[in-house]
Amino acid sequence: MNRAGLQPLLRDPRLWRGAGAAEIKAAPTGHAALDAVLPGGGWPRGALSEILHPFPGVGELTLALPLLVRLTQQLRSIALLAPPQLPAAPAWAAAGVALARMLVVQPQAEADALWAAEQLLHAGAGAVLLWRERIDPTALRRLQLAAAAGDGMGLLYRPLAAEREASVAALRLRIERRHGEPQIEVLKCRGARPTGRYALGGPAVSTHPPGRRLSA
Amino acid sequence: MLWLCLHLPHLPAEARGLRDPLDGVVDSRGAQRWLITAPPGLAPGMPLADALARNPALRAHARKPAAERAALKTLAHWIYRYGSPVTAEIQDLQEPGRVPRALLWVEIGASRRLFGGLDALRAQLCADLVELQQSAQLAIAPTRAAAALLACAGHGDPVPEPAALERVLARLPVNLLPWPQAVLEALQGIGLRRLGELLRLPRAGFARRFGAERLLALDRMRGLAPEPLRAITPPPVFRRRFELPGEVETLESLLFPLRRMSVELQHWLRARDIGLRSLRLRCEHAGRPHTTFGLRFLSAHRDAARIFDALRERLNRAPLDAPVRALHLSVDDLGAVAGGQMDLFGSAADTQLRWNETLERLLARLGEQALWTPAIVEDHRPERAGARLPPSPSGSGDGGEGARLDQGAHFHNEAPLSPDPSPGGRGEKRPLWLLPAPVPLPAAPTVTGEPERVESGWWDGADAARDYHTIDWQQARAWVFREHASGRWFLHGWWG
Repeated sequence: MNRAGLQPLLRDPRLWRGAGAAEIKAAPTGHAALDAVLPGGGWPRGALSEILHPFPGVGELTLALPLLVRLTQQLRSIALLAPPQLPAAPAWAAAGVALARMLVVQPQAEADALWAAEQLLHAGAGAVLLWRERIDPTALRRLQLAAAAGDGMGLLYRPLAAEREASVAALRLRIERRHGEPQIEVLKCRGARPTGRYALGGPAVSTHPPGRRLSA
Repeated sequence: MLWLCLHLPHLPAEARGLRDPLDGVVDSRGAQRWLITAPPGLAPGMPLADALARNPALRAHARKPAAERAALKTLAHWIYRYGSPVTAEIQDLQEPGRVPRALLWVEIGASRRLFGGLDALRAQLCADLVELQQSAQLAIAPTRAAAALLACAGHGDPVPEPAALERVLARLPVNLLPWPQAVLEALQGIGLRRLGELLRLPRAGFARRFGAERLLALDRMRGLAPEPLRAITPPPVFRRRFELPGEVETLESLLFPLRRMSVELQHWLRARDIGLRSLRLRCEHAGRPHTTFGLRFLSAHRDAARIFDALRERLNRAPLDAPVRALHLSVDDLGAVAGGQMDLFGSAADTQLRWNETLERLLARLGEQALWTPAIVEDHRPERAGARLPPSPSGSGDGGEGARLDQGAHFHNEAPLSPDPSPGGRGEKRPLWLLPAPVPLPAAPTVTGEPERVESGWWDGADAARDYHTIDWQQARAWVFREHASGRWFLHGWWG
């Protein structure tokens, strides 16, 4: 059996494997290249997703924006917890977000942000965006459970250094700007192993040699 | 008329907040002192000296009639939701060895069908008693006096018909009557043991020997004479003070009184058929000013658990810095409860309610400044183009944007707000992240393209004359501006 030929097939999200997990519920990210490779076709619903980014301003909000616009227009609530900067209301409104469905929480203590995220996910928030420098595995697990209980989407923004840490998140993305364009790399996702970098809104720009991510 | 009567045998102890079984309440007259509540192994009415001889560990406490009346009144307000009129009385004979009877009546003839029959009503009332941690004996009879007598006798089966009442009353012992000891002894002296024997006596002779008012009391009990009553109605305002047994430092010890007051407030709200919008809790300390704080609810409601949750989170957030002696809960603002709270299949209303409760918990724990919903202010200066609105239930309800703007709490300025901007407005060319304050750049960046020029604010003292550019800076997209006056460059936002 030719192993090298089999690996890309096994990584294909369209391949259903009997021993694999159940059907994946997902909401489109709104970025065609990304939707095409993610299992279920987008952000996993009722689950936690991680977005690793070096600093604000690399397109990390643009990545989530189509989802936020759709949720708020479907009268679901979204919440921004402990954002690193102030969300500028006119720009969000111009992007299509219904501001009345948007909640910003800026707690004094760091632990309160986790608590608030859990509460809001349990209460059925459409999406909860949380910014954290560091987070312990127990807290990650709790957020994941809360997202599952409320059938919402938890988006956790973390620094790039977090890539080395294990995570229970259903989806892990890494976003960076290269050559003036935001590029996304899928680090982990349930049900598939896509490799490669994707530009926001564009096709895949480059592909790793197969197996690189498997060994990482 | 059909009266439900509650006899509260432990009210003297409960009113004083005594929960230990070894605590006994004592009434006194002159030098005589006797127990009026029954610690285990002892009978109420027993002289204190005898009781102490039998159980030296007993702790005797003097009676506080005012606290008993207040506690009874609170319960009367609670029971108001089961029917009306409501009345209450403490039958106190002031004779050594006699125990005062705290009695509470509610007329349920008119409301029994609303609750789905006598059994369902009784079951719900018993569940409430458990929640209130209130011990009581219950009886149902067509007259108040008979219901009281049955409750004291422990006859719990409802006696709804006057015909059955005669039979039941006839079997009760004579010394159960709330009459002076001398009268009861005289009745026993002529060989009367049961009420039935008493009722068969010739009326004229009975009235001559024992007084016309005794005959009238018997007639009232049998429903042959009308019973006058002073009805109790819930007060127009809710104020409840809870005196703690000692100085309390830990939050855990405050939870019991807080829960109880929350439940009482819920009963008051139900009786008045109104919802709670905001309340005020005052914690009284010894020798220092009181600590007072208010709590606002996003929507009017009458849910004890929600009140209790909010109070607990609020106390969790800022621990009290002195021991508490007493708590005082009052209502600030009331409103009509939104429909749909009792919807059977209203899952949307359910989600909405859960969301509101969560927001309230967040507000209570994090403080009102930590939570906001962004809104737009018509201003060209980016730092003034946003406002913070308090999160409101309409934030996740259906529409209602118009109403939101009336409650504005902390706006940055007086400019008109427009929550729904015309698409393609100024926001399109602006970044999603804004720095709280512009940060000076070390050097002038290389910029290309047309700047966005902002010249505004010369009239309100925050003059801004700037050229905004978008640049690639350290692998991120930044929004920078050059100040016309100084020529210096500042970082003002990120294209997230």
